[in-house]
Amino acid sequence: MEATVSQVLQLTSELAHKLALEKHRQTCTSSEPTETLQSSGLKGHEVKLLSEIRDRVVNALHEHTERQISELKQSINQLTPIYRLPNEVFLHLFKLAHYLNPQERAAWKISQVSRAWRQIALNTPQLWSRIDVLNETFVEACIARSADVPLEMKLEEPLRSSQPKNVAYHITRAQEAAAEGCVATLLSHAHRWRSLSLERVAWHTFSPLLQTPAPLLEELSLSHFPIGDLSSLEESWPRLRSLSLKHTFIPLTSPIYAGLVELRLHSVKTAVKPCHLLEALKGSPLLEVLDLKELRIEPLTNPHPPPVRLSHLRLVKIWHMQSQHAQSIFSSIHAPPSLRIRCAQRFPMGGHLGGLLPSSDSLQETLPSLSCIKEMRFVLLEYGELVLHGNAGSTPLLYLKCLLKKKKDAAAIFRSLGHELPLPNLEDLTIRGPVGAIVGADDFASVLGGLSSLRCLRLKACCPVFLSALVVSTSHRVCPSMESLTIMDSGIDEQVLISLVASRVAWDKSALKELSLSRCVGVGQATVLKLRSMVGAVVEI
Amino acid sequence: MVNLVTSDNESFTVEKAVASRSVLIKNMLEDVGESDQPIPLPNVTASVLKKVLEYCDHHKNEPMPTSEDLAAEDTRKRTTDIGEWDQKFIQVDQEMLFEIILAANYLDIKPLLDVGCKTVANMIKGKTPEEIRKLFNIVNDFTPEEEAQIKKENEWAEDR
Repeated sequence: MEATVSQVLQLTSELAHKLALEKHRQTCTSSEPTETLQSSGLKGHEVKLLSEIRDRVVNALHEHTERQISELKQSINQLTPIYRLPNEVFLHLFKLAHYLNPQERAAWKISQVSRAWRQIALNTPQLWSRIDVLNETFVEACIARSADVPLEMKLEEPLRSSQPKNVAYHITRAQEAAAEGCVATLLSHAHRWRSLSLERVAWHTFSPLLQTPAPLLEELSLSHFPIGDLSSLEESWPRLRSLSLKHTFIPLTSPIYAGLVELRLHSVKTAVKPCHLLEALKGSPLLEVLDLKELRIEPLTNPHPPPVRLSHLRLVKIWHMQSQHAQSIFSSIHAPPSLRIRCAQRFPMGGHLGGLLPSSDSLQETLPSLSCIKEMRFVLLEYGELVLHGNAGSTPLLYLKCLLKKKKDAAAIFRSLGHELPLPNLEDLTIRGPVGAIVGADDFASVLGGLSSLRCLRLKACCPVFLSALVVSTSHRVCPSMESLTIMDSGIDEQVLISLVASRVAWDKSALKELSLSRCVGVGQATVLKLRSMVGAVVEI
Repeated sequence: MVNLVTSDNESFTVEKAVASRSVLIKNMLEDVGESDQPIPLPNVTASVLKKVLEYCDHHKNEPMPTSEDLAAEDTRKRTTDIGEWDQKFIQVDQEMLFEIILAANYLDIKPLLDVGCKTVANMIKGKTPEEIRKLFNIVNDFTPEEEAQIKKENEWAEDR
């Protein structure tokens, strides 16, 4: 308030001074002033000046009141539970919000919540380091507020996100000019780039970004971006570790593939030579992620190429490639036992896992993680899609989605378990879906015969015919270590179930310890009581 | 065993492995050596310490985060999802959530601080500034001039 009082006093003094000056000016310039004119002229000025002063005073008072209200509201905010957090915690929280959901542009949102949050956000350069809007105001604000923090740029054409991917789009001249302005600003900060992603942007506007040295650039991602010769640039990006190319391709002989930690090649139209791919992989011995989707590979000229040792490889994703192409990659690498494999393949009729994986003799060398699988889920969906999940504890080692023409094609894949895909350490197997409709009891018994370490078997919505395969006799002893059997959502023949349990109890009383039945049609209370008398625990869910 | 005394004068006797999830307590124990003396925690109440110790007990066998993991620059890499147990653990009211975050910060338990802050970050996700204010009972304390400036600098968002 004191400031406002002094402002009002100053304005009053200005008014008195202006009036005195006016009076003096009129005295000097008018030799024969008439009382009426002099009075009325002076009054007009007085009114104007007073009005001006009044507006200024009102504005000053208004601003003062607004500031006071704002300060009062700030004080109210201090009483809310979240404001008990110290600034360093807010800082950490905002950074997490920024990195957890980069597309949310957390900094921009946070800086609009309250004065305190805005202050913290504006003083945290990391929050402004992501540039993903082609707008000059946005880009310039990010550049300025991110200080000297390395920049992450994800650029796509304006309005791209709102248009279907397969529809051609047009940008206006104004948008193109804005994009050119953004590119020019970004080029002047190339020394700060950490990552650059270009998606469906115009070559003539954005290609300069690929023709400038970026000493800190670690990640490059290009999608639907026609690309020329980049061979001269590998020295300009000495720290490049992650390369992602989608609907875009750089020949595999380019030195850009050397020293990578992550490599993603998606939807490459040109068929690549297997020797070039292997050479590219060899050039990146520290590779951790290999992600290939819709990549066509020419037939192997050398059926036994020297293996590429990738001892840091932790994830291989192979999506929608021909099985033999995927197989030639799997067969050519030596990965560590911690490797995770994620795969989605279309299987030909009668195709089995032997057509995708290296031979079972060499699996221990090429993909040793597969033999570490302890739990497996075999899920056959009603519409014919098959999914295999293989884990070791909480680590998912295998995810394989098999796209089949007909549901019955799943039979060959099922029969691969324990054979083309040896699972020497498998303890827990879940079979879900109408597998019984495509696989007979003999095939089921044959699969179980190859899984001697199995301790726990779960059958969900399976054909009851499988139960007969689990009945053991002196000539038929599958799953000797099976301790637990769970049957869910299945129709059961009581007599077969009793035979199964009786045979296993008679064979080795310590073997089957738990039987769980859930939503099983055909099992009465009398049978449950009888089973309880044979097995330690019969759980009826 | 370690004896911890809260601000409201309640004692908790816990295993050393549990208490040592807190870097603050771990350092105190290392400085003091073997001692029966209770450790005062003047910034933590009994109800909050009980929750914090529940977390520490559940994670007592996990390796402690390395200094490299905790480097400030590595926030970008510490963005994994919250584990299933942690998600259930942190399902508390807002007041308790912020108390847990404060305690984790004071006791220097970085993984718990991360769980708390990620939870708040997830609460913010998908919300407008106005919705965030409403969520945390924050009053809009910008002056009209500041509001006008903020609106102007966010005009780019209206074109999208």
